[in-house]
Amino acid sequence: MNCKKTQRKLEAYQGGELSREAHARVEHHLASCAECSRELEHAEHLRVTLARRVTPPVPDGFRHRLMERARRESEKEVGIGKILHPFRGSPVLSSRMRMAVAAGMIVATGIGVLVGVGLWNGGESSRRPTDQAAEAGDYGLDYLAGTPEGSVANAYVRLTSTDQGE
Amino acid sequence: MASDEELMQKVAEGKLDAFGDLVRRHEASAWRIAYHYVSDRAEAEDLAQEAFLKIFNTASRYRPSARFTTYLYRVIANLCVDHHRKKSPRYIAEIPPRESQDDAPDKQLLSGERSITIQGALHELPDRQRMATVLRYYEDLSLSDIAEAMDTSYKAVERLLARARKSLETSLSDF
Ligand SMILES: [Zn+2]
Repeated sequence: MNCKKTQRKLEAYQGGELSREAHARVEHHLASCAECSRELEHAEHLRVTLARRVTPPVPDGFRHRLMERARRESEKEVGIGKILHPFRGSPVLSSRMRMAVAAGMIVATGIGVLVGVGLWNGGESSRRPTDQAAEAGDYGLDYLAGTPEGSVANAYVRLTSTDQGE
Repeated sequence: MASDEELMQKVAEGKLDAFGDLVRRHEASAWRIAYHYVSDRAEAEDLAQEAFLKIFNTASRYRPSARFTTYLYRVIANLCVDHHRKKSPRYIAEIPPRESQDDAPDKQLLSGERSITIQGALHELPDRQRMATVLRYYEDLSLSDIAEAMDTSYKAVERLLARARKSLETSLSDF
């Protein structure tokens, strides 16, 4: 084993993470190489030095603030549910009014579909699937990239994954 | 006690309590990584919160094939590295907190100076070297865990850490 390779292996060597054979090879090289032995000493010294950096405690209220945000996010999700089931939980509407609302929704949905199809074919305002696949890949969330464009799941992924900006 | 992976299943069912348990277990790790990477408490909190929220929002698609911590490290490492790439920040030394109330003032000063010097040395490292260093020295991850967290090969991690070590040894030679 040469010096370059030995020095690359020092980190895992120190941590006892090498196979028995690899460990023995590094040890063998160290026994006869002053430069690499010095490098090992430096590495040990560096570990001690870095450990002197203080880690401040988790900020007060960190979890509280986080849980508040999560609660708001989950309400957003419930909001999507309400759009999908608009009559659930609104007993105040009379059956006549429900009919009227339903008729209105059908018209609105029809317009929405037409507009949607127009935009879809134009493709200008839709985010390219490849961007989203790349982003999902970045976070090791490859399975997210599999949600079909235009599906509700996909819409949800968009809602929740664009908060970082692009 | 429920495993992290079992808690994630519950989070996927919309259970906020389970999410709270996961946060309680892992907030210190997420915080430590983000803090040592960005060296700014406000930014580190933002990043750690973003990481947990990302996990919360995508829980329904989580598959327990990988350990939860691997997943957490991956999300936080990505957010940190991305964030800094976008922002290309000007590094400003942050005054570190006191180590303990009992220390004599001169000792506190010394430890504060030490922390600032180490902080500065870490900030001179390129993004990925710095992340590998933080995961190794402050989170005690094995090289293979770092490889998974950074979505790279074991060999690449060896190289990142070896290069980082060379630079740090030079910039911290007075210690
Ligand atoms: Zn050698």
